[in-house]
Amino acid sequence: MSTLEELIDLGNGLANPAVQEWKGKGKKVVGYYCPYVPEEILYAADILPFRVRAPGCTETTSADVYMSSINCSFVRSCLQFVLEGEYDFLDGLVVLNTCDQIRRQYDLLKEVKPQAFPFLHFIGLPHKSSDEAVRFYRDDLIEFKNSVENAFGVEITEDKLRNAIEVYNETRSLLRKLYELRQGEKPPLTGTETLSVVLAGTSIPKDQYNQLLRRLLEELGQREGISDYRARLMIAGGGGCDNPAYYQIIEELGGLIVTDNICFGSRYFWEPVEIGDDLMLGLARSYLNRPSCVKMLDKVAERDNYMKKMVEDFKADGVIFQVIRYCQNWGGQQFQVRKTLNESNIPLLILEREYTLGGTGQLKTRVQAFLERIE
Amino acid sequence: MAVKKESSLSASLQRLRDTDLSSYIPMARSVLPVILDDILKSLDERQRSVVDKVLPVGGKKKIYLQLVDTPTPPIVIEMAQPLKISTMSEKEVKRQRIRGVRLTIDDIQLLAKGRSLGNMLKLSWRLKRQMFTILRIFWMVRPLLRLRATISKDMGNQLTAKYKPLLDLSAETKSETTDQGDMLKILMDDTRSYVEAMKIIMPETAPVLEMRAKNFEDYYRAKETGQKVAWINFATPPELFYAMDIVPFVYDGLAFQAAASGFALKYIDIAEQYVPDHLCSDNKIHLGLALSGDIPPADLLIYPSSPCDSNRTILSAMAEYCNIPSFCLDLPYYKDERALQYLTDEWKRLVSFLEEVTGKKLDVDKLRQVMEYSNIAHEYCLKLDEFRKLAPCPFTSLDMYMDGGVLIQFAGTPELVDYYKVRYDLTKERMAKKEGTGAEEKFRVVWAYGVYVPDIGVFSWLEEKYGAVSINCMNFNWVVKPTEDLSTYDSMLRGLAEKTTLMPMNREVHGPMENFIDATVDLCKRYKADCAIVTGHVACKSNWAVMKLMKDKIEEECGIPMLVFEVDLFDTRLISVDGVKGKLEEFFETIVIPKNAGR
Repeated sequence: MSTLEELIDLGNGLANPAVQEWKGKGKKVVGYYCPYVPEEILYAADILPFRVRAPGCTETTSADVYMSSINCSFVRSCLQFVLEGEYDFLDGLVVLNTCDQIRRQYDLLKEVKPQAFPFLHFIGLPHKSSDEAVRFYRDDLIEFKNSVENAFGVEITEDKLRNAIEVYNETRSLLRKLYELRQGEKPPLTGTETLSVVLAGTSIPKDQYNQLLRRLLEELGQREGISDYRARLMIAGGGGCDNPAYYQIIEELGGLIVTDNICFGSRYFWEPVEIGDDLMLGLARSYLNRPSCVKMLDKVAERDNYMKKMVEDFKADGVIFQVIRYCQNWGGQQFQVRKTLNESNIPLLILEREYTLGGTGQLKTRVQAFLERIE
Repeated sequence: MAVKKESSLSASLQRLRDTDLSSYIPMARSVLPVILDDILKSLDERQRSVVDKVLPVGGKKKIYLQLVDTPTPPIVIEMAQPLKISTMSEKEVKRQRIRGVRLTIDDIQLLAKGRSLGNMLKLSWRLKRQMFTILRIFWMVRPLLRLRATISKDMGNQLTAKYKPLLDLSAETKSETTDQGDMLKILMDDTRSYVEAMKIIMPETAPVLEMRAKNFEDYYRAKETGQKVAWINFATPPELFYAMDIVPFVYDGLAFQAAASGFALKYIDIAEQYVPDHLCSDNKIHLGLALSGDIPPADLLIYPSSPCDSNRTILSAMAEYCNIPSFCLDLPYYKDERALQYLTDEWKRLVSFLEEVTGKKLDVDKLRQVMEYSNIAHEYCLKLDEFRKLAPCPFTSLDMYMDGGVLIQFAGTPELVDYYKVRYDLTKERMAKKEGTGAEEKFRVVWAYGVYVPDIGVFSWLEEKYGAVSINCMNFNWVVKPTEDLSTYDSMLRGLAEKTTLMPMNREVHGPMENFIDATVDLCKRYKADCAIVTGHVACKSNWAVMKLMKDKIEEECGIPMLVFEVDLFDTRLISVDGVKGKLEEFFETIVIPKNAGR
């Protein structure tokens, strides 16, 4: 099995072999909802951070008792998985106020299934990245660190935290190198494969992941690049963009996804965390200033620039902006995204969809038409 | 012209086929005695004795009018002084053996065509089975008809002039006939025209519309006066803006007004060309208005990071899209001391931002004066709130709407203090005289979420149909305490920060779920509610994740039923006003009334 295949396998399921092995050693796994949670703090406590999602979820009957059908299907699917016991292997969960619907997961779980997670923590993320917000977030992270220490009886020393940040920065650097390989005329891997590789990183220990990434980068050097594509595409949008099958449909039509602006993609790792005297301050500043989610209200222009820069650097011919239906955060910004891309003459296709993969015929028709438009 | 008038009247009559007039009865109940009183004052002794004979003080006779094949129940008039009007079920009319007339819309059309012999004969034929009753009623009111001939033309003209604003109101609405190019002017003029009518219908609350009209006017004339206009959200206290001579314009108020005036759908449709349909229609209305160019652009956009995704995401993008200087007031998730300090600093940064864009320094003494006004208004509001707890409630459902909303936009103005003072004094006086609102209070309703916007007549309709008085709602549940320490700049901004966290919706929706549930339980207990209603706005995603648990808790802790159903608070295309009434009817008929049957 090649390293790429190994990573794709790891990224596809939930309790993958790496998680089982970790649990087999009696170690803890803590889930988290959003990449604004500094995983480094968990990693420094020798806890495996695991990004919550709901691959393969087909119905949300149990979740719909507590949420409405007009709530986003990504969030409902995740709740469904928790209620069904799919996440019983988690020893804890960290939630933050990424969006109104995710924050309510915390409230619901606290009431509906309090036994699900012995450790359930909420972080109040500021909506701005000012110096004051950074300091405020730093204090929240210290509280989070204390909470982890108390709950799991561990001590997160400066050295452990520094080491964790270094390991994570290496991940960021390796993933960025992987992405940069896709800037060329013949990218060595598809967008579908890349997404699976990134997903693997959200569900296995980062030191193990880094080894795999290093091997992957070597192997990709030998791989023949892809040239039989009709157009180079960028995927942008919000949460719930973690389904490689969705990418596959687009790529089977000849659109090669060469980059992205999603939180299961480049926004997760693009910039390293600064390492200074105050590690928590560095974490807070770096996380609040990373390529942003729409949750960050003072970064609209910066987000636009990031989008344009990614298109330019990766020579994308067009952007597919995908939004999960009822995601107000990303849906509410799409007119600004359209304006930005229009001004730069970058073709744009906005696709609203449910988290569970359905309506593929319609998706194919729209992507096909988009490809014809930009070819 | 005559033809046009007839067709307009005919169209109005046709509308009666689908209109339940119950919503207007509480209004009529308050207006008719005033009109009658005016008429009585203008009569000489002989004429007055005629009226006293037909409408004796404390008289018991009742007559009814039923509009057949319309949703309006029989309208019952008590032939007495003061004149009373109400609706009653057909069953009750029969039980009380009240005499009355049943007219179809076609009958009224015929009557409206004129009293020609032909028309009268046709009408007589149509009403032949009721002729005996009609003659008896005619006989009863005959002295009044005779009196009409003796009233001088001058007197008639005087009365007509006095009540002209009411007649104007019943004419076609401006929204159907006016060019919508300058929406702000339309809204301003509309509001102004309502002020005069309001002075007759609800004189106590007319100043609310006056303040609103002035706010529109300040916005409209801002270019001439050199004032900056700041669009602010309903969960942002306005005091600082008044202190800095900036016109604060609550953009949600614009959406309320647009929905009430029938303009909302146009702007929702415009907005949906830019954002998905599931975004909040409140935000879509002001996005649509801003992008349509139908309203002068704001100079500043000030929005909090609360209470919902829709608000913050649209506003942040709109500021960028329209190139409007903006400031986001970031509310921390929790409300501990650290959060309050952060928010106080946010207010200081807002001051710096405003100083920079306006080029004017904040006058701390001016802020203090504004805060003093705000404090007095809040004190009055809390006192009125105490009255609201009484059963029967000394306020009508519409009072809830007027008193609660006004604090959002006008806290810090002397006009609001005057308004509340009058409200407080009059209510106290009315309570001392043991005068009620005229409505029979059978059930006390708490709106556990926002009030229903497209037709505020729904509240009066509930009051009339079921004796269900709307006591309070989440939007207007003011628990803001006055800022005690006005001694320094810091302490005042701290006060504004505290107030921000307690503003309706910031308090309930922004933070953890228990904030919302506990506040609602408290609301129901505090006001001794008999039932709770949630017209759940489809766009409020966080709330839909709370409803099941809230309903369970309300039923368990308060022992009252709670109705939850989906609406769009500004867009009647999801569920019409009649559809909403249907849901409410079902709730009252099948749950609330049976549950309270033995009471």
